[in-house]
Amino acid sequence: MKTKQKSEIKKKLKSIFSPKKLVLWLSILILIFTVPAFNKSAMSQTQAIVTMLCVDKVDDKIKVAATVLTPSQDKKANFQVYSGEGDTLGYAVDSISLAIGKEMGFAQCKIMALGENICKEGVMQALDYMTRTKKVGRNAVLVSFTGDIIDFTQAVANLNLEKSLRLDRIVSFDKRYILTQDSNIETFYIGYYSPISLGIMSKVKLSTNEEFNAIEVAGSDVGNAGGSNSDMTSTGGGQEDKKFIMNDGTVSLFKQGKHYIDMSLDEVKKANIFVNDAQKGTVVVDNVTDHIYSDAKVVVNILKKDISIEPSFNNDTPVYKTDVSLTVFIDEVIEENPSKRLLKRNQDFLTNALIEKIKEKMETDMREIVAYCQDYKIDLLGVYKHFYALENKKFEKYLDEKGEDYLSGIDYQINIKVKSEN
Amino acid sequence: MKINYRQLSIITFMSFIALKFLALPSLLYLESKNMSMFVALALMIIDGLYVFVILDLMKKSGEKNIYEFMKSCLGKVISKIILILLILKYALVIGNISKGLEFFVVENLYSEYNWFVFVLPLMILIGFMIYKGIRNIARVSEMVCWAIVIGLIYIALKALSGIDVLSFLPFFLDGVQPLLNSAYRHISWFGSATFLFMLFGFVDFRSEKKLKMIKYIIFAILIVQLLYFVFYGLFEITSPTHNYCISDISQFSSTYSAIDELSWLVVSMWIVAQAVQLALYSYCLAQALKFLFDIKGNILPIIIVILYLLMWSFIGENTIRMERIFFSHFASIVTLLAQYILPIILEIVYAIKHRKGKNSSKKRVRDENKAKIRDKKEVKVNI
Repeated sequence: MKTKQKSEIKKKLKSIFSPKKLVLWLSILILIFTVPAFNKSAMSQTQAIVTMLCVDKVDDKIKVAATVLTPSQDKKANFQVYSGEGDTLGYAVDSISLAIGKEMGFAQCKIMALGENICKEGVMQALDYMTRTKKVGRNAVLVSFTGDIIDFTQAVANLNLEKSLRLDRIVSFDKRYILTQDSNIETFYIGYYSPISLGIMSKVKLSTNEEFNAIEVAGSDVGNAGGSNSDMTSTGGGQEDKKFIMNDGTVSLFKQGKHYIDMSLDEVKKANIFVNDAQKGTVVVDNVTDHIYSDAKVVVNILKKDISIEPSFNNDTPVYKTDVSLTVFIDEVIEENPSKRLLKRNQDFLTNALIEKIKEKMETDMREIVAYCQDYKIDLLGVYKHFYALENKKFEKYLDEKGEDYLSGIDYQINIKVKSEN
Repeated sequence: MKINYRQLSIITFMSFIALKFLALPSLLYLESKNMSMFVALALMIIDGLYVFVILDLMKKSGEKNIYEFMKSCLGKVISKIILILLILKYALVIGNISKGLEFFVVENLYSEYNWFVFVLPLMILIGFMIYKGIRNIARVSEMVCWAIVIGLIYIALKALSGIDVLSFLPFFLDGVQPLLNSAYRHISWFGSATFLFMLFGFVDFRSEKKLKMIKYIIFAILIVQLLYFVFYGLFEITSPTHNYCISDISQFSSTYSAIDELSWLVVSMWIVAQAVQLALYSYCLAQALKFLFDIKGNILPIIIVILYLLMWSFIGENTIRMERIFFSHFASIVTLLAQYILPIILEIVYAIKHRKGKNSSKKRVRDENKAKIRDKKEVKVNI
């Protein structure tokens, strides 16, 4: 009797879990989960899609401003700027949520901009909160900015709407020509947590005066920007509110997460000679005189650069040997009485005198940046990394003696080779 | 229903890469720092060698399943104890994959997501795959394998230019001890050959090509090493903060090109691979339960496995609690015993039994011959 019952149960179970029935179960489950979904509001109604977040500190209060993208059916993007403030960053962000009645969603946040005041006080807490709690992606572009936080946020939103230019792309373009590394949260973290604790980020300036390289934008709400700022914002307006955004290649350096110094484009370019990734560049040499040139100013384009860095120890003195091999192309020749020659992409015009001048100029630039690093005690050239990786034990002993001033006791040897592209 | 040797190689390949691309690389970095790649390499090579040890046992077992084979070598009681050990190992792997998937989907892939929307259909799928048997799992693995391989290579190559080779130096700065500690602590993420025990009697060795298996294992090791090389090269000192290796690599190296959207497609394909692995280990768990409790049909073990899967959705919401489970001595010891000690014991016992068997049969023949001679002599005397 029992076995009969058992076999009946088995049969029933088999019929319930037969492949065909499983498909039916699956369909029922899908229905259970999808039907309630129809009742839910669209995500754009409940979440604000933040594309840029600016943070600064004003009068002991954290101030934030966010560019929010509102999806619309027309092709034009619709950005609105909201701002809020609070005792902590969390409160400041939540105050915007309260004002607009939407959760702030940071998954699409491509830029995080930090004002001068917070940069001076230290940025790590803000970065940590935004990446860990608010889930800002660590590939978000990181910039420091000057000027009022709301004006800056509004100006960046208008830059997109008026000129179809995006700040994250402008700064990312720097990677190829200026910074040689991404200016994003991850690279900043890597720099901060490294033994030298050096972080780098691009600096974007906002001014009211027209300057060279600056892009003019409306300072207040324009067109589709909406400008429906929360009541905590100070809205500007009118034609007199023109603002200028300028990315002139200035780079902010941070030590222990706090703003340390700004490097000019010229200084960054010199530092880049030591960096293999910085393939692009130009060298300008003056007073070139030989059988081809007469007191000429020659602009040389660097087409390819190979850097070989060899750290070693000569007795107890660390030696940082850098071999730079440049493939160049003569770009411009400026002289008072130009000879009747045709500048072609070949080596004919790369004379020995010119090569010597290029070498001299490059070495001067490199020595200058070494002195700059020694003066400010900043390891821009990767000296620590190279010695730690390749001469670890001797370097640790050397570090014990020299401490933070380790850059000053190193013998920097520089060899430069110049050749044409052919 | 048996699977062929090629299918077995593909399942093994998938099992080798399955658990490696979520939290493992970041966890390894905590102890073994820049040498984490080598820890993974060493453990994967050992896993690869054990594949052949277990396959050797599988061939020796003939048509017997693992329980019958163990019973013939070790007796019923010890076999059941070993089955419990294997059940624990499979249960740990299932928990690991399940929670890994949950954290990945809920925290990383979607901003707001109800896990049960994902896990309930997944359970039906897993139940169905167990019901259909190992051949079904093998065929699905065959289908998704190359798409996943291409995707992983794509993600790695896309990010390759951003790595800093210097971050891997110097080697063995703190000696070998931290690496051994790290290997022991994270060994439960390895032991990728244990699923083979439940395939005893289900593999058709007629088409066996050892070279094919070797190729697949080497390929799996190379892919894992490539991804780890990119991961540690990109994130360097911040590696421990990246819990989602595969998506973090693709996200970090994202550009503004349209092709970049492919990365998410690859990540989604990888989720499919995880589901297949979940099915494979669930199948193993169901088989082991069947053997342990002498269950005749498939339905009851499937229900138990599904309920076990469901249980994981209720416990261990946070990573810290999960780490306590997966990096405990318990998990390490279970893996050590199930993957690395059990096959050796079985090989030894089988060899001893076999020799004994040979000796006793020789003795029996000798005794029989002697008896025949004696009988003949007696017959002659009688005459």
